[in-house]
Amino acid sequence: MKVSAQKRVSKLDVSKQISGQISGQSLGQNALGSGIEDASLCSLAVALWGWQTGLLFVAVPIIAILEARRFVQQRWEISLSDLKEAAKLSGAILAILFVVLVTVEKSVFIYSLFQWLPVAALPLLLAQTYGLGVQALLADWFANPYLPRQDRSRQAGSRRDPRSKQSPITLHHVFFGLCLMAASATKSDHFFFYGAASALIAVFLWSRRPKRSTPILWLLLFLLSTGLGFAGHLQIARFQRQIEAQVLAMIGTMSSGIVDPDSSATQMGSVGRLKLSNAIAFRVAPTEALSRPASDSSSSDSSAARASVVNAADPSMFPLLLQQASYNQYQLSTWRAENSLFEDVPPGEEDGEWVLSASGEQDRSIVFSADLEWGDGVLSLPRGTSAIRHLPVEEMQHNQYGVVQVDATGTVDYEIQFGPSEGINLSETRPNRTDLQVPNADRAAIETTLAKLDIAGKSEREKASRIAAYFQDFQYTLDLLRPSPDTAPVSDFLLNTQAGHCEYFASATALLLRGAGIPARYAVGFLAHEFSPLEGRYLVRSRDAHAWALAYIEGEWQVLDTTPPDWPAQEEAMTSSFQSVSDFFSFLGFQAFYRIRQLGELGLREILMIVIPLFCYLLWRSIQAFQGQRQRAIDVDEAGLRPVQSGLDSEFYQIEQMLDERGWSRRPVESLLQWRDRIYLSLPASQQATFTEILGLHYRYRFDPCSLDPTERQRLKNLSQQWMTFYLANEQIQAGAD
Amino acid sequence: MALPTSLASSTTSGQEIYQRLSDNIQQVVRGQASAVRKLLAAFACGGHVLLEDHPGTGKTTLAKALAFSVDVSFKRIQFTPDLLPSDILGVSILDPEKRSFRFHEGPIFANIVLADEINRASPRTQSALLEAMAESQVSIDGVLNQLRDPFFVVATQNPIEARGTYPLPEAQMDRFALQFRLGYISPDNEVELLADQMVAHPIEKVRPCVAIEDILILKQQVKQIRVSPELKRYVVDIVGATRVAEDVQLGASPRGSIALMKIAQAIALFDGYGFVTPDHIQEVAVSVLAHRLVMEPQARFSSKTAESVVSDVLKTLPVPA
Repeated sequence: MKVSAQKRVSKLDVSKQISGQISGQSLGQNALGSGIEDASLCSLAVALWGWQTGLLFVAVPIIAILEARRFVQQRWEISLSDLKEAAKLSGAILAILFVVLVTVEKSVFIYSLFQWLPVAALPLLLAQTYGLGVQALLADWFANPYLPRQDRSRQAGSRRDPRSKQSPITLHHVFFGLCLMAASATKSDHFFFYGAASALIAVFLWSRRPKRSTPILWLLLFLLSTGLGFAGHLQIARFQRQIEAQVLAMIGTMSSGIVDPDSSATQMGSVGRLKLSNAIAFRVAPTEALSRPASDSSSSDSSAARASVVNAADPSMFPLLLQQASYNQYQLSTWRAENSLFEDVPPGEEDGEWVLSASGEQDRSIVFSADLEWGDGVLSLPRGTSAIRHLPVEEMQHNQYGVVQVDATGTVDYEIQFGPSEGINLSETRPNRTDLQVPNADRAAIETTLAKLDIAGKSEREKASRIAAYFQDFQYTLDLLRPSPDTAPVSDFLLNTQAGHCEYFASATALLLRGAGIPARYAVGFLAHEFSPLEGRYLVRSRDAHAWALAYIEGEWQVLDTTPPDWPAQEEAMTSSFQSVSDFFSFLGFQAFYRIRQLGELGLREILMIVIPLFCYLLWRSIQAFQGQRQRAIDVDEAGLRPVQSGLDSEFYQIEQMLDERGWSRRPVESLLQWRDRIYLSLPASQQATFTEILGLHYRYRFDPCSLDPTERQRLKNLSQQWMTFYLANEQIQAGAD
Repeated sequence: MALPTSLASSTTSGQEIYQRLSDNIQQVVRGQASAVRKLLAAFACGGHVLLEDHPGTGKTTLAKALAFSVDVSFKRIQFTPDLLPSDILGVSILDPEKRSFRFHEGPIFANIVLADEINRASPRTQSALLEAMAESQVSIDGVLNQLRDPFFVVATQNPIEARGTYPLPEAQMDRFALQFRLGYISPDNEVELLADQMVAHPIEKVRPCVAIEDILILKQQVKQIRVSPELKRYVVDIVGATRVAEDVQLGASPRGSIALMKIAQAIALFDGYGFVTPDHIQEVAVSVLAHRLVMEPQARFSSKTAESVVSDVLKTLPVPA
């Protein structure tokens, strides 16, 4: 420990004068520094912290300790090791807090840990407040934080003067920031916190404002930055809400993306709001000359298509329904597939070709780019699918309800051929009794509705179009309305709310068809309708998931989609305007995937040709960086510690090195003469005198500012070389003698 | 072990003077070659010396031997508790005949001043020496009086006796270029000493061997000894390290750095060198620096002394080689 001048004065002088001096010193403020002391500022920050976090019972003692500096005149000299001890204590407190909070609060401990940070920093705060010389230590530290320890102690000697060295940063500043940060980790009123924190920062900055400009300018700038900060924080909060919603939706669809071939629990009867993600599920591109968007024709068609049976052979092809599964048994808001039996699909002649139905007419085909893992291996297939090509899977299975499942993971491109007449989901199973079952809970509502429709005696096709027309006035909504407690969801939908999402429409349609004597099923899948000009493909998102009814009319399962056709538009309205940005990144990812896959097809040689130059470049760079570092280190050494070192090229160093290799190494603290005296007798007797002469020349070469004249320099060189030659020869003779 | 002189530059005359003085003094002071060397080094570079040792180790004899070896004026001041500044500096006394004040020079107006048992006088009196030792001048009655050149103070003090003594102020300690102990001599030397003292005290036989001009030449030549920037840095590093050493309250001052360099120059001259080597600096560092350090009170418990601090510094700082 050292006594600085302040301490001596403080012993003799009057207390008032000292406290001013000491606080001035500990603050690192100059005499001009108007405004509040850093320690008082810390008190204010602690007060805010205590108020915000509700830890006033901790904050008040801290403030008391801080403010006691006005009455306690005693100050302690702090050495670097003391400061380190304080830091260790802080670390220990932090560790204890960590353990306690983790055990008490489990997973939400991080907020509490943040809130308790000022307590952990208390030892350092005390060191700063009641210690002398902390500033000088910090100044030393900040001047060159990466100096090795021994260099530091060496350098500190010349640099350390507690009066002149002042670090611009005091531990008070750190503590101040810590308090504000800790106070921010609460859920209380953030308007109040923002205002209070801004005021504190204003007080802090006021005394540090540049003296050359006017206070008005400073004030304006501060207000501007505060205002911008406030606006920004509101925006960030909004952004966070957006992200939260997205993440929730993503988590939601992770599970809903999986299609169970056996059952489909609908959201009917639930309360809340359906949240569907905008994540792109897969991409679809027509292989024929159909890459143009068919939106104009589809919009005009769709109103008509809506009322009638949608035919898969619709010339516009898009919007295209892609079916994943269908179910025939309805009970308690859940559709089930009765006796679902999976059979193997025979592989085709080509590699990766799978024939689902041996029909002739296949005039359409589309290319899928899909992650098979995403849908749990259940393929989304257009109506009338007959064959799948280029699908690299081991085996493929299908059941009687048109579900095609493969056992594969990863993103693949595959082609699907489908036609209007034949296909897996056109002529799967013949309808049975289950396809006509209406659950008892909904029977009354179905009959009431059918009575309104006046379909008795009409043809099946007529019945279907009437049922479809009945839904014309229904509302599409993603809001899950609260159902009447004693009414089944479908009945409630038909009779009361007349509003719902596609599951309602599909279920109600299926049940109505059954009520009218037409076998009907419930199908789920996607509607491909959104053409991306960027990618030249149709994008199918999670939110494009859809449900519709299948009606067995005229010996064929036909699609009857009664959901109002503007449902994609409604869902699109809910998406943020940033969607295109995320789509773009999705596209980039998709492209990157293709590039990587192409890379995989490259040979080893091509890869090496790319990698080796890259590797060489990196190697070169790191060598350069290493050399630069060394160069800098040497520069610093020469510039900072050893300003002039002449005669470093002396040949004596070769002798020293040679002897060093033979175990006669010189200790760094040993001067050459001391070293010579130590090893003198172990040198061959004939060479002792020459060694001394060389050493004398070396000493002059190194330490005499007049240095050596050229002949002497030459002599040093010659003697050294001769000496080494002699020594080596002598050594060999010795070795031979041994 | 010194290097052969033939290698060093040709400043032989300074070295000769040193040799003569050294031999002359060693006729009286037996077995104290290194002490004589240090004393003369301080003398040659214009610094002052504080001898601290037990009673009867030859402090006064050494000082007197030097004084008698050089043909210069010598005064001795026995420091007592009632000694006043005017007893050292001199006093103006009214001359009744001329009816004016006449200044009587004090003992400080000599070339070599022996301040015997300096710590027996009060700090007030000791302070009278400050200006004289630092700047070779005294201000009396507002008149500036230059002291003679060379001006050399050899002070002695007794480390054992604490009663009735005053510790030297740090400011004055700092003004001594060197402080060293004589220590007890070897039994052989002590036997010789007894033999010498059989008839008469050998100090009475000492005759001046160099003239005052020789001393001025010597001092001039010391100043011409070259010091490389690297070794200046080494000096500063040593002094700097004492300021951050543990258990040290107050490190050595820049005056300490200057003294270390000058003494090393003198030592280099004595060895026949034209330039200073790290060995010269190391040889005198403890004597030059140790007395300037103020140790923490608790350092005593870890048996650390100022000397050990400086020698530790020498053992930790890498030596330029």
